[in-house]
Amino acid sequence: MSPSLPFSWRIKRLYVRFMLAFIGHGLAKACRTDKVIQNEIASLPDGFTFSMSVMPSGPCLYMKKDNGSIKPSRKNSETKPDVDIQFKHLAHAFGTLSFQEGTAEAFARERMVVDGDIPASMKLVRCFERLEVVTLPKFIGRKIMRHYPDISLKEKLVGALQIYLGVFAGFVMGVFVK
Amino acid sequence: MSRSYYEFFNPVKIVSGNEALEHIPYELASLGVKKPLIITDAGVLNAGLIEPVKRALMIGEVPMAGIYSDVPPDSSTSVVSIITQFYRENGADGIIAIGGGSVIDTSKAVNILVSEGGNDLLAYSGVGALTKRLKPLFILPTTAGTGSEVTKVAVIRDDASGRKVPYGSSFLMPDVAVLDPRMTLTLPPHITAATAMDAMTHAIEAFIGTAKNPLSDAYAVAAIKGIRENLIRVLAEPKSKDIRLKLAESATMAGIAFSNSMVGLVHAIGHSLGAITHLPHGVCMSLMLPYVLEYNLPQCEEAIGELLLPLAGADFYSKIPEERRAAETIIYIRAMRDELFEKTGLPRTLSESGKVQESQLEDVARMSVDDGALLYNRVDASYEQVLGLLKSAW
Ligand SMILES: NC(=O)c1ccc[n+]([C@@H]2O[C@H](COP(=O)([O-])OP(=O)(O)OC[C@H]3O[C@@H](n4cnc5c(N)ncnc54)[C@H](O)[C@@H]3O)[C@@H](O)[C@H]2O)c1
Ligand SMILES: [Fe+2]
Repeated sequence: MSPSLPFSWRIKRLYVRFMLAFIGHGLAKACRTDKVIQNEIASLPDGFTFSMSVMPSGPCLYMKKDNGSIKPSRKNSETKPDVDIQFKHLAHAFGTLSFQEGTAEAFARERMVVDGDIPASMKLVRCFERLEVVTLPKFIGRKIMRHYPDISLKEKLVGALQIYLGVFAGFVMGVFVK
Repeated sequence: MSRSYYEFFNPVKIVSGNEALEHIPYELASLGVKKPLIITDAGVLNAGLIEPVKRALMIGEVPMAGIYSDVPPDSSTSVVSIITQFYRENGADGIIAIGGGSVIDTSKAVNILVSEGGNDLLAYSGVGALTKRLKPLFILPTTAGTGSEVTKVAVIRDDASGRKVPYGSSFLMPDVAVLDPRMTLTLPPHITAATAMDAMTHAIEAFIGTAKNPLSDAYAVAAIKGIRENLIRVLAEPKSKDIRLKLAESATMAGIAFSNSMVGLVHAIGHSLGAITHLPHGVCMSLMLPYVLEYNLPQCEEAIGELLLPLAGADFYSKIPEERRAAETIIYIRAMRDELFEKTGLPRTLSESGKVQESQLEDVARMSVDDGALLYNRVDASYEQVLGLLKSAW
């Protein structure tokens, strides 16, 4: 990180790094506890990898599917991930990950470059949106999503609790993103 | 403050109109091309469309490296390799693609290999793999439809896996697109109708989608107006050069619109329908268009309503109160499809096409929700919703 980065941008960068880790651990937990995400991840092959990063040099989340579940893992620089999602700028990553802009809006505004397996990236988009439905307050989710599904308060609270616990456990184990 | 933001890019020089072909030698020379290779398919060759191009080149004293005329409808990596070899053996230094979307996509892929070297097309798949200008590419579209002459994508089947692999880069755009009325004069009525409805769908989806912007809107509206004014007329007067040219220009404008604003659910379903049932792309578009517009109506009422002006004309538009316009747009499109069915047999429903089995619909729906175009549709769609749409289009 450049030492001259203004303080507010250092905070934003930290926030983006935290949120990417949150998505990573959240997805890892939810692919065991949430039906919708479970189904989407189940249709991806074992060994599937994806990366979500900020240009030019991070932060970066890298995940891999092994034995049926998907987990944050160390980036293998030799092989290209199956799906590579790159925000063009830290400002865009911050805008999207702080829910000022929904996923569909971010795509429409070309905030990121998506390379690789398109059908798999559509499955991931549905996973991210589901994660938002479960973990975010409804008034935020509604604002940024094209379609907010019917979800009972109980389903939402239980789901959110499970995911937050999973994320917490992930952080306690000390796995943070680069 | 609104977070609105858009990008718009169209670096293609459009050379359009009467005797446009005769401008090719000058344009080639400006780009330093001395020996171009012509790439086309059997249908275009047999329609006699290569002759006027050859003549224009001959009189302009441009020697050709050769003519490759065996591009199949469903082009693949092996075809691209064969043409690449042909290009190299004959010492070509540029490409002139003459044909519809199939020839154009193939030529874009050939241009990757002849410019970058090697024989491994897959190494350049996806986005971002190309980092520098390719060899000069000229495109002469012979269908007024895909708009591929102004887009930055090509889709080529990989022979090894059978998958359709996308290639995306601004460097795939040609240097020059030539629209000459002679190139589309021979297009049979049913292909004229289907490809024009593809162009119509490009413009409509660009105009109502999430990535719409003022520049692409201008192109989309002009394209829709051009298609509705000229499509039915061209079926009555297929040999009219003026009408053919207007249709070709409209398809190119629709291409510029969707190249910058993307397409939506009609294409998401159409891509899957085409892949599974082998119905031509334009037929899939025409078939699904009104059903998807109805589905999108609640979220896109204003934009769909605005389309009534370029579609039905000012007189009709001004008589319709604002809250009725979107519904009238859809009625207008349905009427247009009825007319095309009557004149060319262009199917309006899946069953009418005679090429789709009801048992295929579930696979089509499953594939559609994984299509990237869905992201740019203002209304999201689940598997069940797409299946519902397909059933209503049955
Ligand atoms: N790259 C892109 O942006 C893009 C966009 C849309 C579609 N496409 C691709 O385009 C393809 C479809 O293209 P298309 O609809 O233009 O059809 P096409 O190129 O497959 O042509 C259809 C048939 O019409 C014949 N034909 C073409 N022009 C003729 C003429 N003037 N006179 C007589 N016969 C003629 C051809 O020989 C062919 O048999 C698909 O493979 C699709 O994937 C690409
Ligand atoms: Fe199309």
